[in-house]
Amino acid sequence: MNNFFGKQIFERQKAVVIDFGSSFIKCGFAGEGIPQAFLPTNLIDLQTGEELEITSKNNTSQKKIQIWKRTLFKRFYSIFFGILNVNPKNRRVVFCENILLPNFIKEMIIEILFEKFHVVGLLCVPSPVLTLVAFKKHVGLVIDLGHSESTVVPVYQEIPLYSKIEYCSLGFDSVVKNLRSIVLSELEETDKEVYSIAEKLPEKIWNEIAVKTCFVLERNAIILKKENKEKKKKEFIADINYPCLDKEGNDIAITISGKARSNAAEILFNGNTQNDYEGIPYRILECLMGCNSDITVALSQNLILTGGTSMVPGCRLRLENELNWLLENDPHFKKLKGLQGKLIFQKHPFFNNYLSWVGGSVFGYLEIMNEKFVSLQTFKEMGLKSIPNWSHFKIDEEN
Amino acid sequence: MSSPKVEFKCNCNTLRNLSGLYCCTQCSKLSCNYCCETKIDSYFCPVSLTGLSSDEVTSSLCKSNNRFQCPQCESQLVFQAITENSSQKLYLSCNYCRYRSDTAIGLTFKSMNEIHKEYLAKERLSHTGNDMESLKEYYSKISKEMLKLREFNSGKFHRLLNVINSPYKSSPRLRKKFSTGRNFSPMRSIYSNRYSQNERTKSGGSTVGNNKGEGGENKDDKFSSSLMSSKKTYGSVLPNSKKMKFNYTNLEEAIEKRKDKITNTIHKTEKIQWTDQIPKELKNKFDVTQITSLSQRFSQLATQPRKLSELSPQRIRLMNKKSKQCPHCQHTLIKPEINPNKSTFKIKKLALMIFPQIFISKIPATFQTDKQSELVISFKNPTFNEMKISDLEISSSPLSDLDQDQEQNENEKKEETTANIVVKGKEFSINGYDESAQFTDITLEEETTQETNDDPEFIQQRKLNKVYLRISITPTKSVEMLQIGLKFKVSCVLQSKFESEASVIISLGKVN
Repeated sequence: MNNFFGKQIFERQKAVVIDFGSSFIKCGFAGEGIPQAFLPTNLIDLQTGEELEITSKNNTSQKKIQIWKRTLFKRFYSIFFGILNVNPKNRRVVFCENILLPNFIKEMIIEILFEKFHVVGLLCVPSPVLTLVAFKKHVGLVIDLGHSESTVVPVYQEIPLYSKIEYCSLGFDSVVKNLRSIVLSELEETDKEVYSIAEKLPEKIWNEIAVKTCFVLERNAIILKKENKEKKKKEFIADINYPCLDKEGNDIAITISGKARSNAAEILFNGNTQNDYEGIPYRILECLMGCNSDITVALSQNLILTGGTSMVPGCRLRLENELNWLLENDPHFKKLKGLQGKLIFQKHPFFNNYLSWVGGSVFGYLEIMNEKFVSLQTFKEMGLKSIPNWSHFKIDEEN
Repeated sequence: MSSPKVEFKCNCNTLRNLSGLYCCTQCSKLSCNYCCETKIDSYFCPVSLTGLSSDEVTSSLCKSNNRFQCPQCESQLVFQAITENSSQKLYLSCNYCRYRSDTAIGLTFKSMNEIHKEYLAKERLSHTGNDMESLKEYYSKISKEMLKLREFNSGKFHRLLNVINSPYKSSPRLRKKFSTGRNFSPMRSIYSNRYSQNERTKSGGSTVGNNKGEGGENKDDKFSSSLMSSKKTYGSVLPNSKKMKFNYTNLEEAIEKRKDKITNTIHKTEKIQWTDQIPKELKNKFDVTQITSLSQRFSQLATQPRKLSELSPQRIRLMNKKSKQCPHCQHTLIKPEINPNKSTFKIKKLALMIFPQIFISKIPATFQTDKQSELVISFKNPTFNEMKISDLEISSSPLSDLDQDQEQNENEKKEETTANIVVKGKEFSINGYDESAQFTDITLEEETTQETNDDPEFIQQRKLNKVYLRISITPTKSVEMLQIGLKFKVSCVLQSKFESEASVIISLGKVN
């Protein structure tokens, strides 16, 4: 692997960095600050027309594996030849993996990249380690708010502590569902014609409505009411009309009330009481409780927010207020009471969307990482054992 | 309810229509899109249809220089001119959604050639801007120090240890010199100045931590980084081994000094000021049509603006032409022409031009168990010469390597056969494609009486370059989808003799 000619090939071309998310794939070249494109991950099988979900159930039969391989192959084909305009044959690939990605999908991706595209080297890095790179930090608590779920992972000296992960299946799609149910329940009483149209709108349009109109209040709605009564303020949040088309082609507007706009994202913080979830701030504090006491101070001063749903306006402020409120009033978190008012969220010059991609691009650029790439030869000799299931490494560790 | 279809089996065990397969004439094997190796041949701009060389592609960051994309509707933008005070200015306009860069942002150009330089400069900044450069510098510094440490740990140090350790074990005098005191660090003992001085002292004590109160401080410590010692907040410091220096004589002073250091590191916190309160515009009424959707934001990843008025036109991405290779023998299967105006191919080896096409021409309306029904299939010869088909095998269980493991299917074969199929022949030949047949006046009756010596129960009729076969099926079980497997060998004459095998699956329909 380290022969002279091999080193020349490695160092001449930029590596390709791919980040697989549940709703968007980010792809680009190493050494650059921004990805080339955001692609939606519509894993739809063209032959049968079914949409594939990334879960670990019902996906072990041979038929399903063939279907998955076909759709993943097409996705990567469109990434390499459609967007990046690059021959994958002599390129290295940095793959930023989600920690909770099911193992069979990861194995399929590795097989496709090596056997079908003949990639020269592969490096699989867990994404919490990469998000820390953008802050120039080595210790931190990574809070990832994604589309289908959100995770809290503590990372200490570039090692993610896998046994202390907290997971919550609340993400942006639960916000969208909440919006839809509130708006439909309001429309049912007032306007039945518009209700019948709004009921049939596909999920994509509700996604757009949520992106354009929703935001998060500063504090819990109940607490805000009390404060406003004391100060005799009246806060007014306006309704918004979303234009739509009738069956006959006339213009119709769906009114999205102020209540729906401000309460749609509450589900992230209050939790879904039907299925016994607690909200995200509760999960963060549970994670801090579970860690060893000598790490908690360091972690609490390096809170890191990533993910697309954290870009909803007002999200970070609300999180901070909720955490401080929970530390003050909840007896379950007595142990952490001294941290009240001392939690610090870190700043960075990028957008929250693609933070882990930025870390991957730095890793693909460094020369010291050249040895960590798993090459084609080792894959041919050892098979899937060459890349471990739970990846772990540090910058200064030797192989 | 799916309609009946005919699918060929590729070498990688996927089923495809014959139009999606390629056939290599050298190794006579089929390959599909899934198993071919693809390469990019050339790049071109899809709007102006001009080719680009590889140098131009890398310098323009793989996007076209002169063509732009409308930020609202992602269609092509057109240049238009205004004359103001006897000077011409150009602006961009969209024919689909009435977007004008003049009124929206105020973008005007003097000439077509100046545009791409400004855009290139902006994109380069955003792609490799100051933030990214500072990250890269920080991490490359760390990695360089790690490399130095590793070099030291691996090569020279071990050799030197061997030199040191051998006299160390034998003579007690040297043992005292290199005694493992509390702060023994081999780095210091080799590279420090005090080592050379200590050789001449009479006391012969340890190099570090002398009784005279001079601590073993190294001014020329190569391996301590200024980076690591400068930042003292939690989370930004890599673990460093030797930073605490003890003086054994003045213990109390040392403890006090150390206390200050510890407390300073805990209470020193960076105060970060956030200014991300909700803007008041959100709570009031606003026009939803003036806000960008997600896909519009993602076309400009550097700024991701929320308002429509902040969007700017983007350059159009280039397209490419690909060539494909056979995975078994590395010969080219498909090679397009480099000229982007032409959509023809220099080399074109499709399976459609070599293998016979199979159609279903007569199928009964319903299949019922224990009832005989007749199926008619036609083979069509695409070549100009005669084609021979031999070793015809038809079975009712589909070919085994596809869906399930081989073990399962062997058992199943013995137990289940969903239908009894009878074909009364194994070989036949098909005439070649005759171009002049379009212009002759032969009627249908004369065509069918041309060929004799045909078993009428095997071959129904012949027409120009088609042959119609009869197959009789009696299904024994009621199945959702009845499938028949065909295998045969093909031999024909292209530029030279060509022989190959093929396997086909025909899926017919429901059996009641």
